[in-house]
Amino acid sequence: MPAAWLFVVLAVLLAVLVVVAAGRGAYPISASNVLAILLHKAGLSQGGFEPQQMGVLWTIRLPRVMLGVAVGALLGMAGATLQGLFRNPLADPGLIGVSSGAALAVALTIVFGNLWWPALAQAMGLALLPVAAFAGGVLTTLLVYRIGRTSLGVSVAAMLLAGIAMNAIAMALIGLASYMATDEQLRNLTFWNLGSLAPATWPIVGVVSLVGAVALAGMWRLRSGLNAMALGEAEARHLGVAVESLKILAVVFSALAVGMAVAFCGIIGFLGLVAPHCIRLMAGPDARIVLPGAALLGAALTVAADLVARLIIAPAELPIGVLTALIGAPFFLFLLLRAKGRMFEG
Amino acid sequence: MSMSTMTERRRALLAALPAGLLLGTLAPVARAAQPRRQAPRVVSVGAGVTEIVYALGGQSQLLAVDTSSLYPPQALALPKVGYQRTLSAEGVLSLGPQVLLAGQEAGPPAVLRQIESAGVKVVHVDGDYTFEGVLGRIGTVAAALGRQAEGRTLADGLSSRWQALRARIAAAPLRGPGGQPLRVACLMRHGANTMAAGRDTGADAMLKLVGAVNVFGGDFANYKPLSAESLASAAPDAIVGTFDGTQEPDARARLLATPGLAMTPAGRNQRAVLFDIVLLLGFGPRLPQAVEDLYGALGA
Repeated sequence: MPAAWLFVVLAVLLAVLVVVAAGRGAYPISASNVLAILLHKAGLSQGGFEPQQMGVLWTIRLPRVMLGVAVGALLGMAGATLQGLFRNPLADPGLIGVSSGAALAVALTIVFGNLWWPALAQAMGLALLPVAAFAGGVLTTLLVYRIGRTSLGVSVAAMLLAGIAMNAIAMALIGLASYMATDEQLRNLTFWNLGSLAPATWPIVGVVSLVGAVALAGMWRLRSGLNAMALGEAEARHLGVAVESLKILAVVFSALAVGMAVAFCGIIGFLGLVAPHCIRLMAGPDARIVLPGAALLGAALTVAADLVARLIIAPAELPIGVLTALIGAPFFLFLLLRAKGRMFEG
Repeated sequence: MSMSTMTERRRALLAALPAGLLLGTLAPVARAAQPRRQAPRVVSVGAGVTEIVYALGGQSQLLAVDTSSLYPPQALALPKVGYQRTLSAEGVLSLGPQVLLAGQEAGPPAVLRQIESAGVKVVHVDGDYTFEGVLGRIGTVAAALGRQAEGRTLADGLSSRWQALRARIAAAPLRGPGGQPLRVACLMRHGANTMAAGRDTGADAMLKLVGAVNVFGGDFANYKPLSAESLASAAPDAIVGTFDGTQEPDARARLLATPGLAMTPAGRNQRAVLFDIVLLLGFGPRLPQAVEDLYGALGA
């Protein structure tokens, strides 16, 4: 598919999904009332709806949809960046330790937070987990990067292996924390690991969008470098790419992106791995297409998964991490089956 | 409940919304004079909380419950707002409650805050694993439902029953084979794992209330996986197993087959009782009954 068409299709898909997601939910708000509330918020009209409808749409549903767009875009583009950096189709944001580092910090905070730092835990309230998750994710990634550094520069292979080892250590420590956890803490931990957009508020959307915009812009600037890296590290160097700075920028910006997502929404699996692959299967490996394409597709998949999560068993809801894989994986398999003949047999 | 009745209920609710809106616009003065309706509609989250609502006769005010609310059986027919720790703000609001009765485990906190900011009163029904805790929760729920009189009647009835029960237990304490206070382990099966109740658990509190000693009360807090060896070395005089909802026919035989149990006094004397977990750990208005049943079963 030509790139321009792909972007048009993805952008329209995302726009449609955002409109549908804003209009549908467990709490019934008719389309005309949604419009009336939005016009009211823009100062163009007033009345015609119940105050509680405005409360639900404006303080609960819309921030949630917007957070889904931001988080999906961040996870999608971070996945594309890391797959480009590692030249490994299995690379996902988990591989450089962001997710597992964040999960470990959250596990320790949930289980021991009130024991070790009760005053701090009290003072930070709802901000405690996001801050812990972000710090844990970014620190673990920097450690992985530090281990991968040699006298000749950063070894991508060493980083990959260090990431796997850090994941194993984090998982073991999370297991230990789970063993020591109370029933309540254990379940909080389980649900954090399945991800949720439910805590969304406008301030959170603001923080994620601002930091996320920096991360997205940073990754977008690496597109030519990542294209050169696809040929091999030595080749990229000969082409004049500053390979070492490319590596650190790719790690920093993707850690920032995934750290933001993980901090507020827990672990939303699978998106970072699959969104870039889907774009590659549809439009080829050019980073100039894969980076923004993965961001658009990641956002669309997240909004769609959250919409299903909210509606399917209303008035209850499912964890979004379950649905990103359930919706994303069959789509990915379909693309894979269609492309198989072309890619692997021809 | 069948799907169609559920849809009907929801439809009735939807139909009530515009009517309420109309009333609201027509009678603002009346509303200002009487800001809270006499019988607020509630969503109840937490097994013990739901039991209290029914014990107070407040079921007509009950719109929905969480998935842990398994008693009384009528509660099973109500719409479900999902698992108590992962409530959905929109889901709860879509039912149109004035009050959310939030048990100790209701959450997450961010969602409770969202529900509160949409104008629903969130009443936290907290308290510890004691009879006084139950009385406190009854008072909280009764006030939230506007059923204070029923609350006092219920509390008085339970209190007199409780005093009699305490006296009975004090007069004839549970004894082990050697005449010492009865030493009990409370075991729960999770798949292939056996979990034992340590201190700071509802099970530990129940054992104390019947005058028995939790053999693991000094070893660890919460519920922990139990090895055959630690069960054998703890040497309980009796064990309490739990079932969820319906008791399977071979449940007692399987409880007695717990690895390590054969080497304990409980295993040798076949002293094992099975208890409905909702009754055992509910700490609701059925607490006196639960204590009486457990006391009787362990004494037999």
